[in-house]
Amino acid sequence: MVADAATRHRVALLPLLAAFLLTAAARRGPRAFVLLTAALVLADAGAHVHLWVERTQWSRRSEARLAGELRRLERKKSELVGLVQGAAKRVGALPETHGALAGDRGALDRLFATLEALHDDLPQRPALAVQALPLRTLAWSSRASDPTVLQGFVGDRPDVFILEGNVTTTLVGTAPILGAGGQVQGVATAALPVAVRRNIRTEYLRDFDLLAGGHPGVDIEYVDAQVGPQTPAFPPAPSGTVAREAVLRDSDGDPLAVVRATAPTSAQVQATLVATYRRMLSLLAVLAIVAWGATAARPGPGVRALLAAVGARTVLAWLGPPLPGPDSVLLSPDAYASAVLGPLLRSPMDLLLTVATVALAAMLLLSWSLRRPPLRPFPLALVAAAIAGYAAVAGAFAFVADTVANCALDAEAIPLVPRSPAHLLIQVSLVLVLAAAMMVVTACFALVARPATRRVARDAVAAAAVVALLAGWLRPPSLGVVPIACALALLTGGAVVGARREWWRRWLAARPIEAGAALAVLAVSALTLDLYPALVALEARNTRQQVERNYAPAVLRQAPWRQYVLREAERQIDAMNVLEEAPPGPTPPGVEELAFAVWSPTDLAAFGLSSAVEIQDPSGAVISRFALNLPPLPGPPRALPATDDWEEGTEMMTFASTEHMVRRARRRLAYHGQVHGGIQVDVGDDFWNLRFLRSNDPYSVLFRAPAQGAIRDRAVALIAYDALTREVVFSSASRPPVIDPAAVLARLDRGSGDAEERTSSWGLWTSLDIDDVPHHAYMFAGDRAVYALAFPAPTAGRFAADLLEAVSGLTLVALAVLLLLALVRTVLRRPRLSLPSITREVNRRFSLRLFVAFIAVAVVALVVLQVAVRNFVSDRLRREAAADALDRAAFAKKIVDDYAYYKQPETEGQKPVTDEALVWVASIIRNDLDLFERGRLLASSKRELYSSGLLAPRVSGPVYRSVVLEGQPSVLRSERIGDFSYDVVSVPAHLDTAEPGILSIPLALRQREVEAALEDLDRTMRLASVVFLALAAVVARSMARRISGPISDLTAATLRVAEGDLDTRVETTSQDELRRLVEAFNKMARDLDRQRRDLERSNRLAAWAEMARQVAHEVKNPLTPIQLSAEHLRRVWQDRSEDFAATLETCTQTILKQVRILRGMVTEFSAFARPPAPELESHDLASILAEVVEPYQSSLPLAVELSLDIAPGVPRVRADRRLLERGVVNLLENALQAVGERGWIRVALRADGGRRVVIEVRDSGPGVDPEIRDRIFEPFFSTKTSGSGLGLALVKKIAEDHGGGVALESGGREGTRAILWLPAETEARAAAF
Amino acid sequence: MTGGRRVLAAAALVAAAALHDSPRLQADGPDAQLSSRLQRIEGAFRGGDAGALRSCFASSGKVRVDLRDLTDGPASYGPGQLQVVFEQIFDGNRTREFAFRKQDVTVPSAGTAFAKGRWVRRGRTGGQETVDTLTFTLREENRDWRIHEILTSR
Repeated sequence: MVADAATRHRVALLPLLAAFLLTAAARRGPRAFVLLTAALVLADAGAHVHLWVERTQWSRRSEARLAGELRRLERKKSELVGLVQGAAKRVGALPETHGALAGDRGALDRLFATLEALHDDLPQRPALAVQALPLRTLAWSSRASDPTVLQGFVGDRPDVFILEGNVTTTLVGTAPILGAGGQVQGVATAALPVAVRRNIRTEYLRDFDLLAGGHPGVDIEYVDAQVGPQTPAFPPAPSGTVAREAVLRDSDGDPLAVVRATAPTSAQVQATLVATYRRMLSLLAVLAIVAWGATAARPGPGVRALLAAVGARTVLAWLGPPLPGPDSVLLSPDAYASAVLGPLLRSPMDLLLTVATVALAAMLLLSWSLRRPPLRPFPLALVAAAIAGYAAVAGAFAFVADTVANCALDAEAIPLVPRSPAHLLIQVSLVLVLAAAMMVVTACFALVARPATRRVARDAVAAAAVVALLAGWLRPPSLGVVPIACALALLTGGAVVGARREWWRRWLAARPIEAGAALAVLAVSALTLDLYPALVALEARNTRQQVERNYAPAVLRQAPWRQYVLREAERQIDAMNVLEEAPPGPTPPGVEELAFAVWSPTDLAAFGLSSAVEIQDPSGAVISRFALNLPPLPGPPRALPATDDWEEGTEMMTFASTEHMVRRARRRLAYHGQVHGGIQVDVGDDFWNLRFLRSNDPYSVLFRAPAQGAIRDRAVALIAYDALTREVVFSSASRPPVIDPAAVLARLDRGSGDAEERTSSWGLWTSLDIDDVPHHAYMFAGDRAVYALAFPAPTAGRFAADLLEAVSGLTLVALAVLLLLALVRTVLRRPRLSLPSITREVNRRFSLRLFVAFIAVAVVALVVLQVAVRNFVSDRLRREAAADALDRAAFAKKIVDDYAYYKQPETEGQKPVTDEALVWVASIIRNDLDLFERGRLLASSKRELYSSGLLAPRVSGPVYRSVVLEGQPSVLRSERIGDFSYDVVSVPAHLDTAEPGILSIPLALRQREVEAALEDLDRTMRLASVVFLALAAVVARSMARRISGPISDLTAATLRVAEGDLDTRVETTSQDELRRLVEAFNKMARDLDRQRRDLERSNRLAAWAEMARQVAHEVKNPLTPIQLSAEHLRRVWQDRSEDFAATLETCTQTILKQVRILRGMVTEFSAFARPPAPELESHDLASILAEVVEPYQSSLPLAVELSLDIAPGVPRVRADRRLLERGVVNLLENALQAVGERGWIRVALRADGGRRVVIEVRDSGPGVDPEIRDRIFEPFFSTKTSGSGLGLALVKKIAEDHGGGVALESGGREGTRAILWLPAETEARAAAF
Repeated sequence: MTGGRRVLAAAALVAAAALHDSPRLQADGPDAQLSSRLQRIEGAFRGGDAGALRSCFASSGKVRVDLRDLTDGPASYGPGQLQVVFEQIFDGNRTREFAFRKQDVTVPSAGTAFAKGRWVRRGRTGGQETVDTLTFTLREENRDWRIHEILTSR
């Protein structure tokens, strides 16, 4: 990838393209896009310049790099040397040291404590020790190594030197402890492993070199003090490289190490720079594309979004994502990769980006389809939608199947807490695939028109039949029944949603966008519900396939495989020339590690076989042995092999009551005619090297576990039965089931009569209960054995729990994404779908606020409860484990003590307890154990931990102090091997020595059981929390509705009351304060209603009284002249004083006139009180006005002007002509009265916007006072001395009966303008319709 | 015991030199079809052709692979996934030499073969050569030999 990227980078397409875009967009493009593109161009130009400078200056810069590296190495050396020298001096200067050397037990006890405290305080934590002379370790911290290594190096002044072992290189600092007379009484030491070469790279252990510090291009050769001051020489550096060497020395000038730093090649430097710049350019390019997509004016937002997504995806596929770093597992094909779509699916990150782009395209398609009119004809459109939809969902699930097949992770495991980022990305991507398919299906069915007639059932059946045929005929071969069923369920869901598009659109339109976002989260839950069964089915199918095609054959070829590996190991060991150089002096340091050093580079270690390497000296004594999972052979020492060639054979190892077959190879080690010793390689017949088995041995993870973060195979159990004796010869399960191998063999023979079938499927599937858990088991036969490979079968309860966890887990992820989106929008100050808008939405609804409050309280309570329960259970389990360990220790102590006692006569002069004995005891108490004598390892059931150098063969200093010096009955401490930590219980053991021995029982296995139990507890509590929260949500919703329901009803009722509906009442079934509130409201409404009725009655009475007063007043006026005329007539008739005839005429005229006035008044009253129903007809108002105005024009006083102005294009109106004429007449009469003898009146007719017709009557009269203007249209209200006061009230009533209105404008003495408006005929018809 | 590390390193170099001079696999080797398959594997490695290598993988199920320093520990890979893995490996490494020796091919039982190949590679950006010994486990499927495992010796 790096080289390929370098090649790509040399092509100047990117900067050219960027320059082009920049030029094109400079004037009209969005500003952000232009700036980012400019930054991209500049960055790329800068990259080219930087690369050119590096190329041309590589040689000079290499020298500078090398000089810097050598300076760093010198500094590191000084730091480490200073550390060990300073530590040794501090130890030597401790006041307790002299007392301890003098035999003061109290001082010795304090010295141990001080050393341990100092050890914990120092960086790198070197092992500290005080050695008495002759060399005897008096006190030490942690697990110090053997003091005999220091023989010959202890002087009268401080020193520092290197000790090389086969596996470990140690930097040792010493400081003499001088007595009062200046003689050396002892020596203080500080030892620090600076390099380890075990060839192990597992989760807990890895090789390291503190000086090199992981820097590439650094080679180090340490100068072993035991060999002498000669510095080793490096082989010549490869041609074309630049390298520099230096010698690292101590303060005395003695060499400690020779280092060679090799500068990276020019191509390597270029590649590193290119990788860095590529990420930067990728980031800038994506930001530029996003900026364009968000802010460009053209094209439309949908097309823009799609183009931006495709463009960004293309850039990321070309340049790689800017984040995370290149070493991230998210960018590695080890977790997932597929060749289906070329460069688009090379890692989990690629999968997410590609699927997200497809999902976005599907969303845009859905959006487009919702805007399109439906397609016709209906049946054909429905069938086409069904076909297209089926293709989409089947394709989606086929993609899911391909992902599962090419994913090394357990894709079906979707816990609440994601297992790893890679897991999360893959599972989120699978949900997005289904979401995209769902949107495509919805889009297809949204385009189908609703049927004109009710034939939905018939057409739906036809479409379903088409889909069923497709499902049966065109089913992708990678899909089984369950995934197809899930696909059809998705298709059905999408069809239902698409068919109800209008309903969904109205629902979403009626709600804020936050509700839509919440709906999207629930959609994720539904999609997960559909996805999970398919995942389980696909994983089960893949596992079965893997068991049949991979695991079972691997089991059957174990025998030839062990033989093959043994042969290869023989060849590899031959090339090592073991023991060619005779070991000098007394047992040199690290000889115990020699066997491990021989074993670890061979295929025995690489392939994890249970094996052992044993090295003998010329006398036949075993000087070094390393064994992985093979107990030591009991019995007398064996003679050396007879020949220099490998002798192979098998041997049955009997250990107590168990037998193990081992394949053995031995040869003599002779060089130049001299026998130097012998070597033996054993390979056990177990199956623990098969990586798909989970070992019961907790320490197996140290030698066999993959590196941290590496992919793990799905674990299966293997049980092997002897076909003849029925015995279990191997089991990875704790309680293997009992079966009849003969019956299985018979079934196998019956089930495959055809030879061809036998070779393709030579086993059979069945069900077995293993460790009380139902398993799917594949049974097959091999060499005199019947095997079962089994994995747990999902039960209904387990499936339901896993399904619940999966749905909850991914829903939580969706919720987290939503909150993150809201946070981003809050920062960008978007008004909607931001944290403030969500908060507002919640606060706006009382029921929602209640619901959220209930859930928040439930969550807090659950979290507190979980933490408390977990801590309680964890403490309890650990205490029980420690108590159990103490019981075992006591039991083991009894056995060891008795064993040592009974074995004492036999083992005179030998070790009383051997490794074999402890292996036997370990098998009884089911726990490993170590025995220490005088602080040194005497025997161990796990010798490989010591012979590989993982543990020093000395008990921990604090443990020695507690058990031996302080006499404590037991001690519990934590220890570590690399990153593998575990607890150890130590108790005193009775040995035939002055001081008690120490029996240590590591609790690694029990700890694993405790951790597994806690993990189960965590999972169970999480699931229970989900169930509890779901129930709490239901209860919370119910409670919130019960509380807020009456409040909502009250709110609505209050609004109705405010609008005048006083008959509103609220009902409630509650019996608490809410009921009292509702009752108070109802009482209030009743009171208001009663008061309104009383007011209405009072108003009516007042109105009647006023009307009666007006009538009396109006009637009284004409009655007076009538009465006066009648009295005058009678008087004249009685007096005969005047001309009776003339008087009769005058009085009669007066009486008739007043009667006419009375009649007119009655007519007006009658017209107002019971107006005739208007008879509406279409009229042209212009003609009506002309007819009404014309008579007035001819009878006006000379000083009064009356004009009529009719605007063109006035629409017709629907009106009752008589009523309208009366209304206009009333307005004219009022105007005439206001004008009097002099002035003007203007009548105008015009249209108001085509919807209304307006008649204006303006006069030049004195106007109307503002104080009375509001009452001018009231009945019986008048400012004149004569008249009924009903004229304008009648005009108002006529106008309102026609759907119009009337208004009066008057500016005091500026005249009055009366406006009468009516709806145009077209408006009137529409309103009526 | 002194200089054990130097002894081991020197021994490894000697072994590498010894292996280099050994005769390569011939088409008329232990089994013609097996030899043909092994030659195709050699060709795929030498040419850096991950697609050609994919055709050598097991036809169904997964392939167990452990390529020290090139993959993140032993794992079982789907064929498509493994093709991408090898594409990336070949992108970053140029094969100088890849060969099976006749004596490194063993057919311990019918239908099963173990073959050890020596792979000399160098990073595309230069640097020292790396020699890996890859152990292939092949199984016969319908008269065709397919890779089921690729493991690296230490």
